[in-house]
Amino acid sequence: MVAAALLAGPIRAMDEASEPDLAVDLMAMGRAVSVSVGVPIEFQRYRDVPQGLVIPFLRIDASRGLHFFRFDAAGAAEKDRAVTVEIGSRGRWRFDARFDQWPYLHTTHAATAHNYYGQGRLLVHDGLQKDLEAAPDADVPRLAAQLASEAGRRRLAVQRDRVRARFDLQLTPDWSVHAGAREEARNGQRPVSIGAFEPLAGPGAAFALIGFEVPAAIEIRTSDLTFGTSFHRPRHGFDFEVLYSRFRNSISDILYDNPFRLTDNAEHPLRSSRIISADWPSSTSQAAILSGYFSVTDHIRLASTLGWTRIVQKEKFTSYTVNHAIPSPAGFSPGLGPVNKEALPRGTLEGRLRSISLDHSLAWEVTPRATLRVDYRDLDTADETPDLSFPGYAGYGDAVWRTELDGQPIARPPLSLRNRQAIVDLDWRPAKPFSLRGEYRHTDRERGGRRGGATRQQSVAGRAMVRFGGGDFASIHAEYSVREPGSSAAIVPFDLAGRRRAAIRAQGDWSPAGSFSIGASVAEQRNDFDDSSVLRNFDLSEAALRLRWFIGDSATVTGDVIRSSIHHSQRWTALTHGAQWHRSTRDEVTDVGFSLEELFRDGRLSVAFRVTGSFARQRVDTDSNGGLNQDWPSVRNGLKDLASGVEYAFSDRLRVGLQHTYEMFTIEDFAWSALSPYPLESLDDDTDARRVLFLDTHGEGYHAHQIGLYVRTKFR
Amino acid sequence: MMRRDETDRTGVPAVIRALLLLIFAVPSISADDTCSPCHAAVIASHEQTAHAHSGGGSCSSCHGGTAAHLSSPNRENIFTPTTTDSARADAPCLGCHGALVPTARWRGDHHARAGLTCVGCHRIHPKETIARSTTLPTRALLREASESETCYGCHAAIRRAQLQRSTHILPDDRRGARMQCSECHDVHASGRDNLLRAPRVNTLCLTCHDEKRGPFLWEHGPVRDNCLSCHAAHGSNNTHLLTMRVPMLCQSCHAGDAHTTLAPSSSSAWLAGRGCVNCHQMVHGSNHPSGVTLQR
Repeated sequence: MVAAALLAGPIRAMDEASEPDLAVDLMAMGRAVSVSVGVPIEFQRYRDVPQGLVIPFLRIDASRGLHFFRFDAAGAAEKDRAVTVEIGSRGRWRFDARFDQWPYLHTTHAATAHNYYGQGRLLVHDGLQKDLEAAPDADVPRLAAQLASEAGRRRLAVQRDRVRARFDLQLTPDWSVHAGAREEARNGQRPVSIGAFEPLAGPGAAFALIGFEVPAAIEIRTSDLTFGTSFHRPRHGFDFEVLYSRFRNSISDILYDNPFRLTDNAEHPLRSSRIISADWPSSTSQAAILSGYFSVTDHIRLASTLGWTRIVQKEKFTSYTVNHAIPSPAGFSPGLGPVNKEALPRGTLEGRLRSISLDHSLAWEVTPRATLRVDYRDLDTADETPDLSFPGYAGYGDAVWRTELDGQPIARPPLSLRNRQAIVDLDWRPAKPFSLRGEYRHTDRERGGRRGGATRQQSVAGRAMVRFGGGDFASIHAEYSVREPGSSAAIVPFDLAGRRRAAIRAQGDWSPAGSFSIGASVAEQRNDFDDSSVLRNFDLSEAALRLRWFIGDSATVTGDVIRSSIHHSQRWTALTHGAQWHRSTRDEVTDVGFSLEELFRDGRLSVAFRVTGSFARQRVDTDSNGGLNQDWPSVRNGLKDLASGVEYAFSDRLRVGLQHTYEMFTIEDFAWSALSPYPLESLDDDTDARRVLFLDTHGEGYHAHQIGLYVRTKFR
Repeated sequence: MMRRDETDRTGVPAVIRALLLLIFAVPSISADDTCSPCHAAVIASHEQTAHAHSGGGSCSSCHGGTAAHLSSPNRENIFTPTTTDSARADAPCLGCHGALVPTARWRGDHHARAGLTCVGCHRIHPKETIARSTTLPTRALLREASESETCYGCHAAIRRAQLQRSTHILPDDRRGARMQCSECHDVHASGRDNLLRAPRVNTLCLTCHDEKRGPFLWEHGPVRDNCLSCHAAHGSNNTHLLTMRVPMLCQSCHAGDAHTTLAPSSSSAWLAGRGCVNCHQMVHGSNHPSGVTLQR
């Protein structure tokens, strides 16, 4: 009977000749915005919130029979707008295009003496370099502070604009083909920091820190093309898709003046007046994915996916350095030095990265009460880049030629990774309403070209669940896993070698009455790294409670509280005198939310109120058995959001409303709060930081109000 | 010779259609004439949806035969996905949306195995609220005003990320989620852990962050392994979605390599701003011949 119901509707609809249908849904708003502090970077970090007349959304739907046209625009007058157009004929073809924008605001007030001359060139006035270089150490702070105060302030932001389009053609009810394209541009400026140590006298002598940030330009474009075909039937089907992607960075390298040095010198004191850095390299990639599924019987289903990806990178290298004072090292061809690209062993990386992934799964309803799922996954990523070795590199702020690093020659190791995983998962429902689930997972990881070698992990997990009907349930899930010690205890976090993990999660939803529901979850996860020389523990705790109450037909109340804690502890041993430190860091976040919506006058008048708050604190405690030691102040941040609104529906076609939003963001972070363009006075002298200049990009807390009067009209 | 008009618009010949109707069809009940006296509000909300204007048929298209219900109107004698068991609840939806969510895939995957049904996330007869009326309505007839709010219904802890210092759930004007869960997760069926859209976390991340895909001359091993080695996917108390604060994050691996073992105080130059990244700015990889220490 269900199948009958499924087929009756569509078939009948296809028989009908429909009248043209047009629907418009428009919201227009007059908005005022008030932000209380002068540097509200965080307020507009990811969004554009302009004042005046805005169109939060416009939707136009038109159809006739099976043909349709849809237009959606969100924030059409803003820099984070999203516009979608869809046209097509149901069951035959469909074309959709979407234009998206995302702003990312780094700062509104960057202070810099660097001027941008295009093509990644960031230069300062020679006179400035001359004054700062000539100044005795004692005078540098005064001159640098003066430079910072006189520098012009500018806005640094990156705008991401993306267009995506896709065409689907249904060749038969089961078989379709599609083609898609994406064009994405990122333009703007971002802060890039440059830092180095200058050996002041000679090897083994004191170093001076040179550091500065520059506003580097971003000119990036990505183009993707996709073609694919799909064949879907309830019992079997497949998808095949190929993708070509081209990433282009117009700025292959960034050249910047060192504001503290006018002259190059490869003898002590070492110095470099100009530094060149490589930016993200342009590349292309191709991918192909074939996936299919097949129901062997009514109770056994197989699914497989084969994926292949290749990335090719042939960006031209820049030279080792632009410091002409570095003499030609031994072994270089006559007339060539580190500043000549011709001295490089190869002009480009000729980089090739290839990945093959293979996923198989079997889902078997062994009995009406038991389901078995078996998965096998194999991911093989191989770096097929030809080997590349260099005679040396320009180090210490591009000031000296070095022929080894940590005693090793300068050679590129190709990184490879193979990850194989087998999962067996049994779901058993011995009797209603109980269900049990058990999972065993075996993972093998092999790495090449790195200190981290092969690791192997075994994990078991189990879940018990009780379903009470409707949406009510209670479950408990536990997991234990052990990863064998790896070849290097020093690289635990990404290798996860030697990790012992125990985790438990309890969750439930309960509706004692149809109109009231409550949900809760509690989770604990402990990760111990007994073999690690650094990271000792990484633990997570989480608890959440939420409720929803429909009071009659007119009021809805929701509330939620979420509390989470992340704790990790680390241990270090000093290289020189053997003192040990232990550091414990705890991140705690508490979120609360409450909302109320009430309808009056037969639903024509709506009143809504919502408050949410996030309170986050990070504590860092350190102790040592003899080393210099000091606890750090807590880092705090919080976001409170209070929104209220009232809306009156004059008819189904016209609604008028007023809404107000208040946001309060607070932040205390010692790593950023103390920074100004010239931070010497706020930094300790554990290193000589007289020659450090920042852009001053950090944001501050804010209070912001938005009030909007809107009209929403829908007509058909 | 069969005229074009005798073939339905998806290519099913009229003869087969007639046969199917003969075999399967139940009398179609028009909402206006039969159901509206009792269910006027539901039908009114249904009229606002794409289902009502896409040839989606009548009430019986989803609720099946109505004869028993008409003779004795109560909840027990009409098919309703919200009150039936999960094995049958999805059948009406998958019948039409089978190309979007192939039955064979959905039934073996995580959400279905967790007992979730279509109406767990989709509300076929939506109720107008202020949240809905001030947000561009989703076309997917979701339970809540937005996709992310629907997901938070079960994944409550992820909501926390939306308000954190650095968040991947980019906020809109009113702090709703601009970036939706389905950008990364295939909620219907992916066959992968966490229902990811790609076989690897990195593949997914590099779709938008393709400037970091390299391959670089000098690679940073953890970056090539897994972006989640250093970044939290949803939100973090640290900048740039970092799982730990710098320099602790870096020092988890690079303890005693070349630099001071531990910054002794919070006002140390080693900690200011981006910490280690002040100098090692190309932390994701460098393509510079002198960038072996990821500084260029």
